[in-house]
Amino acid sequence: MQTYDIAIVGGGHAGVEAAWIAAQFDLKVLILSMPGVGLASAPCNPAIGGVGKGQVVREIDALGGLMSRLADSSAIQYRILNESKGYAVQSTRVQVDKDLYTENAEAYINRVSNINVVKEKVVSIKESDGCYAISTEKNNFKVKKCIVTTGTFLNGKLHTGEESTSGGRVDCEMSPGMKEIFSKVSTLETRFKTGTPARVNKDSLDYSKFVEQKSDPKTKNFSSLNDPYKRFVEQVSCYIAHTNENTLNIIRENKERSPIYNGQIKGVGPRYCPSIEDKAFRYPDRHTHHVFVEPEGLKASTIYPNGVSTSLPKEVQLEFLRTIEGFDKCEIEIYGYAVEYDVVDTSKLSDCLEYIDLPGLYFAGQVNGTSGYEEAAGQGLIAGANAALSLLGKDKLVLDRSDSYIGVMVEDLISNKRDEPYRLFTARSENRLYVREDNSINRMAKYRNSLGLNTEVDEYQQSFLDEYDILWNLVKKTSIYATEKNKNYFKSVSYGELSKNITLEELIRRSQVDPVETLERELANRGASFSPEVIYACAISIKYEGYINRSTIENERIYRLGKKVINWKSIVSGNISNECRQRIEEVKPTTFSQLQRIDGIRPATLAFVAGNIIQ
Amino acid sequence: MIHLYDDRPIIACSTGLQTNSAIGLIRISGFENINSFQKFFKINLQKIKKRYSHFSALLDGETTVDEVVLTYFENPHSYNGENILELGVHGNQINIQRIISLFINSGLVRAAKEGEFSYRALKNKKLTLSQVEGLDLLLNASSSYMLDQGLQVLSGDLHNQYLGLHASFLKLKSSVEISIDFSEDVGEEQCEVLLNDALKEFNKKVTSLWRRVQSSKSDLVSPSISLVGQTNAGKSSLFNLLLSNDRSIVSDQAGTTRDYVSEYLSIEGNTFRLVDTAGIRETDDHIEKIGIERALEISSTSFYKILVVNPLQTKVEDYNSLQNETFDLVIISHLDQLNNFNTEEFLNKLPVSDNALIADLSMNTTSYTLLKSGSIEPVSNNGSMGAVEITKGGSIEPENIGPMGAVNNETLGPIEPLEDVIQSLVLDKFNSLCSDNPLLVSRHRECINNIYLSLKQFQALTENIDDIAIISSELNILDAKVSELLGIISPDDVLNNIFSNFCIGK
Repeated sequence: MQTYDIAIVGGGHAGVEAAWIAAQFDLKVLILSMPGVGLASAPCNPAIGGVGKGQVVREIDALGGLMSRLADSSAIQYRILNESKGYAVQSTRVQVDKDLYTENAEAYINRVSNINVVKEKVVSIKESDGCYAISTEKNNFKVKKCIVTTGTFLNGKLHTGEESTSGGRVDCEMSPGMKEIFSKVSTLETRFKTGTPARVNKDSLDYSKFVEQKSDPKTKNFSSLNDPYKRFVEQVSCYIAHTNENTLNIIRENKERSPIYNGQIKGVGPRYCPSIEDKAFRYPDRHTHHVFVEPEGLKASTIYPNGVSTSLPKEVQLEFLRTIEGFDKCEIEIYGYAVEYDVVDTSKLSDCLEYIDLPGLYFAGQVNGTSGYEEAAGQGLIAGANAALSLLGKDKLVLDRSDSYIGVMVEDLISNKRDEPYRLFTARSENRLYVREDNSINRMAKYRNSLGLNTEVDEYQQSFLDEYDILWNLVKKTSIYATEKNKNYFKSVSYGELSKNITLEELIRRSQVDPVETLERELANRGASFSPEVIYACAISIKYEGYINRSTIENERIYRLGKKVINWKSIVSGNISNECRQRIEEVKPTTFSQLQRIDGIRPATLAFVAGNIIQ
Repeated sequence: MIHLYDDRPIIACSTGLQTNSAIGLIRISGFENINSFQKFFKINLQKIKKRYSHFSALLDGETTVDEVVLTYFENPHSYNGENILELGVHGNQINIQRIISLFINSGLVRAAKEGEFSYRALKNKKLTLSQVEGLDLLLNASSSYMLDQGLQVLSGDLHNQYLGLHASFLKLKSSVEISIDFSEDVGEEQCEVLLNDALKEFNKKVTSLWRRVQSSKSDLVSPSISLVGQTNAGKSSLFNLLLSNDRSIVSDQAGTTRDYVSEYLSIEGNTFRLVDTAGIRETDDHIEKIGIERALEISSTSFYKILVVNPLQTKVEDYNSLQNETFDLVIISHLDQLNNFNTEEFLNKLPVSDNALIADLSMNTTSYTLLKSGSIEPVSNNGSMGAVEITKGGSIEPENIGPMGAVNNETLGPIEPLEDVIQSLVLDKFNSLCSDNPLLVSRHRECINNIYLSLKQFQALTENIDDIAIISSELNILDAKVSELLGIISPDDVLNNIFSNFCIGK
């Protein structure tokens, strides 16, 4: 019998992140992972980041996590999304070499002496005397805390056309032996479903028919410890192709052979990530869709055709893919499939992602009904840190939804029963102007600091914040006088009029100037030297400060009502729709803001309740 | 203010304290146990049946104060969800006051504050905010239009329209979110189309609601008709003429000839306040000057403004102070005494008006000629007015108002009495005001105005700023205003505002 402080069941993105953070507390950590599969593999699209998700990766980085470093060192194409739409909604996304990503993950984890990776199938997990006894086919372990990050392996079922097999992924068998512990855990009634497209041989495509997207050299690395513009490996391009009427007609003709539409799959898929079948049937008015041709790696023989995930029979997959311009002679290496799986009822989890009725047992990642590597890693970090903090008797780590996307995600998960896979959108945050990529250190430093760890991350953050404070004060106090010389200068650099003395801060806020370029230029003019990262974060923060304050003041009135205590029992007895009634009975909200946050609550119901609240 | 309210039992008269009537209804609400009032009643309160009427003597010690019909509504089966005791008493005001005092002096109850019964109904979830607002309209309705809108609010129809506005706002908000979170999936161009379309649709809805709050609320809720003119122009004759069918209404304000006189006039179920103002003339008399200023002030805030002119005594300069006013109707009096009178020339010297007529205005004769009828549909559409000459469309046709010789009353004598014609003109204006379907609830008017202003600000912002994050943040501010209209966000001060609108004793 081997003993560990913390065991992590599952070596995916959530599991690796949980182990990485827990190990920083000098605890003995065990990762139990499927034999024959690398750590942190990427079975879906080979990309890290994206709108909202890029912010999460930077939050993970600032909290001392691993995903940022793995992504940087495996990135083969960089891009800033929403680049033209304003700094607050800009997000980084990188395509990664998926084999390299796994290699890097193995290397990073193996370098940590207090993490042991055991690749054996778990046969049973049992609770005993406040600890957990875990058995694999060969070994028995006794651990104080157990973090379950089993992804889609919980009763997973794969579908390709009429074929269906047990398993969580196309290259792995189903995870057995979890039945005992899961008999005590409440799972959602509806199963979730997710899917992937076929993997296509990269040499079978005609790239001259696609629009090329080159890697962007101006995109910054995720990890603050890396030189922002360093590229670790060779950079390659992505391409954009389009489906057409013929593609969609083939799919529509084969409706009865689609497991999603013939009743074979009962799970609920994400609306925001529809399969090509969904697109064809649900939006009959649209005649074309984007297909992103994403390389899966420098050495890999396949590309990932993002946008055409499917569970149609193999021959139909090939037929419709070949209607796409540039795909006429395409060869499929791995066929697309859909996977159905059970999901933990996250409303039974605490804000530490601990199962409230089974202390010491944590859940993180796709098993909690989320989709996306970033969401999984973010939860892994929260579960891993809290398992460690709890073991050490320290204060828990809970991120506020007002200053982080991870905080938004955890609160959304635990305050609702999910009815479809959960993905982070920037729209889920009420504080989007503040929860940005550029200020992730400013937002996360207090949380990182509270862990009481002292690593190079902590040192870097302290020096960053010191420099930031100096610059912030400088910008607020520096005056620009309305002299003739300055007036002419303003005209020459298109700063607008200078009719009276202004501060540097006021200049940066002007809508006609780019805040970052302007601050860089003005600091250079004055011979002041600051790190580009500090200038970047400071300039953008100043730009948005006024808008953030304005919305805070306006929102205050809403919050005042939000804090009001409500009696859900009396609400459900009122004249409201059945659907709303059911939702309220499930969630049992105690304040108005909780009620507002329940999915599917109608404005009429809110009005009914609000109209009746007077304390 | 609501926060000053306590939970003690309250008492008030529900049938008004202005006039005597056969029955007055007194309500007591919010007591723990009906037996606490036993000493006031001859019958045994323990034996009464809930929601049934019982006859009893009302006692002050040994003395019978009144004979009353009492009904007990036990919570939650009452208007406001509390225990309510209703007393039907004799409706003499002194009697009602005496009975209320009797209960208050016992220390068992206190006098209700404004709107407190409804406030408690809202608190006990017997009514929603919208319903309370509808109730307010119903109870204070001075026109059938107000009654209808009160019912509309009470039944939630208007609320549903606001939900439609909210849905359209959600579409706008979604289009911004799509542009941020899903522009890759949807495509940039499509994102822009969605955003522009959604903004257009929302703008259309807001603007059409906004139009409904543009008419003056006082015109709708308590419209007044003012008579302005020189002394001896015939204002008082017209005043009496208009009221001749409606003598039952009691004057609410005793005026002097130096001030103004007003009475209520009911036209087809709508109540108007008819105001006869002091005669306008050059004077050195201080008090009279004040009266004249007052007359001009009353006129300028009136719903329907009538200028009465005596051409025989008029120096056009006397109307200088009125030159900037627009009148709904000019009446040229003393028709019977006019010879070779050029009405067109005369009218042009007077302040602008939509309608004009010439009449004799003597007490018993009502002969008149309609000279012009402005934007309002000709009166002949409403009745048998064939003999009256009418000019449509506001422009003055020379042949109809040309020089008039000796007026022949018999040939031009109208079929419909003059007062009916004037009342029709007033009613037409009021109906056309109502035909825009104006909104009467103050809170809604304020919210819609706020939404409109925020939307204009938002549109100005989107023209100057490309940063969609800022656009979205500003949109959230608009969101709060739309939600407030639905009552989703109701800060306490708004609620306080609503309840201070209530009359005692509902």
